[in-house]
Amino acid sequence: MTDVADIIIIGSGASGAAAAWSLSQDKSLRIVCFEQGSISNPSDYPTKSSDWELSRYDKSSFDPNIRKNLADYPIDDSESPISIANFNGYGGSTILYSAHFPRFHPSDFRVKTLDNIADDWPINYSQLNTYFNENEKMMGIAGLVGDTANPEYNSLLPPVPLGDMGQEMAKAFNKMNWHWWPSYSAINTDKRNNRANCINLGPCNIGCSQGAKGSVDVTYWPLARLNGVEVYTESRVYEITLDSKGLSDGVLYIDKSGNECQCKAKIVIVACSGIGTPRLLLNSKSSAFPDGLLNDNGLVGKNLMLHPLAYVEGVFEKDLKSSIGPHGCCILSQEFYETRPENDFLRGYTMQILRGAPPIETATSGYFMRQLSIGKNHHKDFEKLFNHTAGIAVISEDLPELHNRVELDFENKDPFGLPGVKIYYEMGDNTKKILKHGIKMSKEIFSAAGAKVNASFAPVKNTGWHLMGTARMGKDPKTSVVNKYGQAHQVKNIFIVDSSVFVTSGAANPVATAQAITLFACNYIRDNISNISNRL
Amino acid sequence: MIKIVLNTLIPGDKKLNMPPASILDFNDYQIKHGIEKVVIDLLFELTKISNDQFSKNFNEIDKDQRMKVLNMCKLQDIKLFSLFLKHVFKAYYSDKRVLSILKVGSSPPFPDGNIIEEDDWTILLPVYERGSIYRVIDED
Repeated sequence: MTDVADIIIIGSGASGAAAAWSLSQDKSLRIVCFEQGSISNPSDYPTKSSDWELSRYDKSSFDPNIRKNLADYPIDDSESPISIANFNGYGGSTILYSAHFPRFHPSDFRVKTLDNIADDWPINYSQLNTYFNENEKMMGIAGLVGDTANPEYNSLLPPVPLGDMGQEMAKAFNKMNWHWWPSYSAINTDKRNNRANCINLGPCNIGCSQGAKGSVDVTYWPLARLNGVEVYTESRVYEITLDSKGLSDGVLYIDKSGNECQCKAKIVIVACSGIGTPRLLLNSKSSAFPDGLLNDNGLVGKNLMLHPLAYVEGVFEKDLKSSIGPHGCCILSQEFYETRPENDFLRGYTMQILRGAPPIETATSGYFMRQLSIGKNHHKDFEKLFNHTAGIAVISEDLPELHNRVELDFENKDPFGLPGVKIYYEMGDNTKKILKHGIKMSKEIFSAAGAKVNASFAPVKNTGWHLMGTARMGKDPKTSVVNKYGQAHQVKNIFIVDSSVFVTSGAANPVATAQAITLFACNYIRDNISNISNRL
Repeated sequence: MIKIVLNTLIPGDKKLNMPPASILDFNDYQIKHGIEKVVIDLLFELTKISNDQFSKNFNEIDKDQRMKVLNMCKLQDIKLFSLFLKHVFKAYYSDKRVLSILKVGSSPPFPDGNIIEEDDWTILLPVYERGSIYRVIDED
């Protein structure tokens, strides 16, 4: 079967959804989005049942190798200290994210100029500012304006409440005279856009049955679909094809029924994540690109950045009801975000203050960290931990290194016989120093808060959420895959709009920046659509 | 025997009003989660150690001896023991009766959610008064 569209979008996650909405402003275009996963129904999310926490270890696991949905593909991360986390389905990983929504800083786009490492981006913060604002309005971001660690925001929804634990930590930061600020969170703290407000249930990262979390299935997609964008779910694109002129003429995909199909289009937009995008490009081989599409310079899949994380946990004497409230989002500190001359590393990190663990996690991590016994003292130990803990996640800036990469894995294939991926990743010395510093500072802040540290380690294994750099943007086609608009240097009607295009990683969750880049790129596409493909 | 193992790992605590793990329908749990073999292997190990050490079955020895056998089992096969224990924690701390005693806040299906008091944001004044800390970039 052959179908014809004007624009194909591959992937319905954070960037694919933003692209769909942005491009659908031009209602004359037929836009088709291919999503290999299915649609999640919020009424089926595990938070409806008292044993919701069990699902984290099973069907709602963020590890595709545990979850093993039909839409997932094998990811061999045995050569990486950090395992990959994602979700393949309508809404992508926003279904399972914690909704952290900080922006990158202006300095993140000028790393080479400022610190003489890595590379500058071909775009800057000012160029993205309009799109940051537009995106935050669409996603519904809670927070407070006036943050001294970031340029001014236009407006935000009321912040997620701190709770007793957050208040204690805030006082500790004040005592140290360190920066802190309420988290930027894609969480509806007020009823807005036909979505309910957050009622502090807690487990945002197994799907929000309340609909208060800003996952793109409830933010961008309803509007994009209202504008006519068609979404083909359970439809797996396995190759982007080229015509005789060297332009893309569409994609090949396997539909819901397992049929091999073709969809032709004038523009192809790739938004499959920092792992899925290189997988698709590397799998799209042709005589023009025998080593994979756009991979003439060998950079597709290279420079993988993951934001290695350190974790420090503190225990308070008082019951601070710390497990109550949106789990990931409480407060952040960017005291150590920017390069400081006194440090033995360049760049920096964000400290995210996380709420206390729910019961199963309290028991299992407490036991394995030797804070909780079995036998007669079990309940006394549990009582001292549950609702008494806070976590600090140290998100380090990761630097691009060629040897950190994604390759196709023909030994492990998905249910349709398509290759999985193999991850080769090791932490750089600079990153290790950042994490060491982050742990030290986290211990200091817990000490200032009067809490006892009961665990500290890095890197945290199951935290490879932030997948960046594997199809980087740049001015020079020899050292980059796409230009500042995400437009492929070698095939002018292919655009990549996810975090694959990041030149460096910043030290903040990437989704706000990835979506701002998407809107920036799509604005360019809308303005230049007739020039992009000579067949329009 | 499984109930005795569960009670040894998580006994009840009258003072804290917490029930023992033997209240669980662990047979149902193990079938649901496909861990029957883990349970059989663990019980086999415990029986073997108990007989080697005390010439009695696990359910015939006293509390202290049971704990000793469990600790020996842990040393002999930490992977099996840890896996089993994780499942005991999962079963126990997802049980409605247990959760209703713990302060877990509103329970599913969460009709009201949880109330968190509004914050007094003057707590941010010291941060605000310190001024901007990000690097200003010349973007021309």
